[in-house]
Amino acid sequence: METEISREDAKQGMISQIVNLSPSLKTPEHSLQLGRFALAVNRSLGALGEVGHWGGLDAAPESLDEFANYPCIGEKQRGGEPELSDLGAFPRYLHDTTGCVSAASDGIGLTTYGLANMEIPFVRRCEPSGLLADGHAVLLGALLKSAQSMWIVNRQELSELTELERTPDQLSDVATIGAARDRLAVAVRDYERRDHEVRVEQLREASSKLARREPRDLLNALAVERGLSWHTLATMLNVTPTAIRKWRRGGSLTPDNREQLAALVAFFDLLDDVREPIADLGSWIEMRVREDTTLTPAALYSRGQSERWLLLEWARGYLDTATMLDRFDQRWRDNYMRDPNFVVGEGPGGERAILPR
Amino acid sequence: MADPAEDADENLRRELDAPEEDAQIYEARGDEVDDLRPICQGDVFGGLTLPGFDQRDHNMVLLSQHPCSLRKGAALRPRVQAVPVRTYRHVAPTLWATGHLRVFPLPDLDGSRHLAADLSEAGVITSEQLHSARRVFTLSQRGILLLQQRIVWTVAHTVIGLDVFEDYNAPALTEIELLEFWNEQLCGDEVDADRADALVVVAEEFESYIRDEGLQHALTKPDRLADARRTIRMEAIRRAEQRN
Repeated sequence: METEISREDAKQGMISQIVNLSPSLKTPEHSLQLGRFALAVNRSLGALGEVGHWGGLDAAPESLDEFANYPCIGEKQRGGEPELSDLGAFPRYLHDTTGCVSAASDGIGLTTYGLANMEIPFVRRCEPSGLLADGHAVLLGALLKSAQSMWIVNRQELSELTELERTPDQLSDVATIGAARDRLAVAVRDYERRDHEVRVEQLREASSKLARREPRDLLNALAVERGLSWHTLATMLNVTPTAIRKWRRGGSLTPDNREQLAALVAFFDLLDDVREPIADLGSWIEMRVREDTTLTPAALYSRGQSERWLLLEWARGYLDTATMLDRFDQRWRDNYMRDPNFVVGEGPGGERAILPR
Repeated sequence: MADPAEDADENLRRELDAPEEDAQIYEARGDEVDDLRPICQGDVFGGLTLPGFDQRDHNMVLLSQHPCSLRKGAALRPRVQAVPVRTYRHVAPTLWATGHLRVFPLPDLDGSRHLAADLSEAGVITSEQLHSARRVFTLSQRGILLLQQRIVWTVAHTVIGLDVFEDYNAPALTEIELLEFWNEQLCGDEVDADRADALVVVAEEFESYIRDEGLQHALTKPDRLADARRTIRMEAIRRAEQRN
């Protein structure tokens, strides 16, 4: 018998549990998660008016030991013959019952029950490292399969969830592949947005701490420690060279300039922490981002917040150079083109000279 | 004689560059000009007239000689090239690209006065004259690059991109900037009367240091510029601390 539940109930119940469970399966605590998952299934069934009971498991287990010592499970752990009824009323909703599987889990000796031949790719995909013992995998597979086939009204939603968990090579339907790509694109945008928010906040906090330091110390951090030129500093901070000279000789800064100076120091600190750090940031910031453009990281930084984010994404390897420049200005090839006719080389006497290309 | 421009392919048209705003060409004006900054191309000196001109024609000159050839060792060459600076109409940035091509506009000098350096009338001025004259303003790095672009246009009718001038001038302009920092550290506390002599001495020390340490060569390598700056600045700080 299939039980119809509302879309809202489905969201609050089973689907949310599946989604929440997915990343946690990669941790050593997966057994505990599995117990909580089973309990949630149990409760969902109860809430729907069906008999939901799993061997006395009526409260969320707080630890692996507690889970292992639940009467029913403990009994089976001690060697009793597994019976389907040990899963309480749950198994009677499973329509493809072929048998029980008992398996030892990762070191806690927990005996689990599942149904053979009901594994779905989702389970394997969640746990490619093998931390999840076979028994868990099969049980989880069974739970998902039963949920999908018997009492989740919104089957399409669950189906999409499980499709997403398959590797691309396991998919053959064009529509499914397209849907998966769309969902992933949305997810990438969401992560990018969130990453941006977190980074901006991180930068703001670091800047406000740095702004308490003496401006001369901040200038030295950039010029003496990083090796930036005063000209580059003036460009990046959108101030005149004279302003920089005054600051380094002890002149006062406006609150906005002080904030900008601190933000620049914080930006460089952030660049130090990228996955593959740039060897010499002082040189890097002044070098052209590509041979065929006049644009340098310093010039991009000076344009504003969104260009700083592009720069950071590029430095972190999330954007290639052309994409970063396209996002900055679609017409960068025309607007920031290098001189096509002349180049610096070696003159007739061996000295530096401007020569035709 | 036929005008070469008539035969030019319009597809190959290229304009001169312009500042984004008037102030962008200046490094310092009037009281902002600091004697710790080494004399450089584009500096304008008041109270000077080029030989062969009447004082009524102009009383300011702009140094037009390239920074590379302005000095021999640490000292200025005895004679350097300059061009006259005269009162001129205001040339808005939008007009730089295609007009007023034989002058270097010096707009908004002190809020109301507009000048221009005439690039077609070069002359020679002595270093003694420069040392006793008043420097009234200095150009920013972008200002110097724009000046060089217009000088090349005036003498050779050739348009070279600012990016090429930027690459070519990086060593010389970096050296000027580093010498200024060196001067700040080692002569910043000198009173005006002693400062001129002290600047000559520390300029010689700077020149010896970067030559002996092989840093002059490093300044020509873009990937070694930052490291060279770090080394030279730290040395200046070390020497200043040693003196105190």
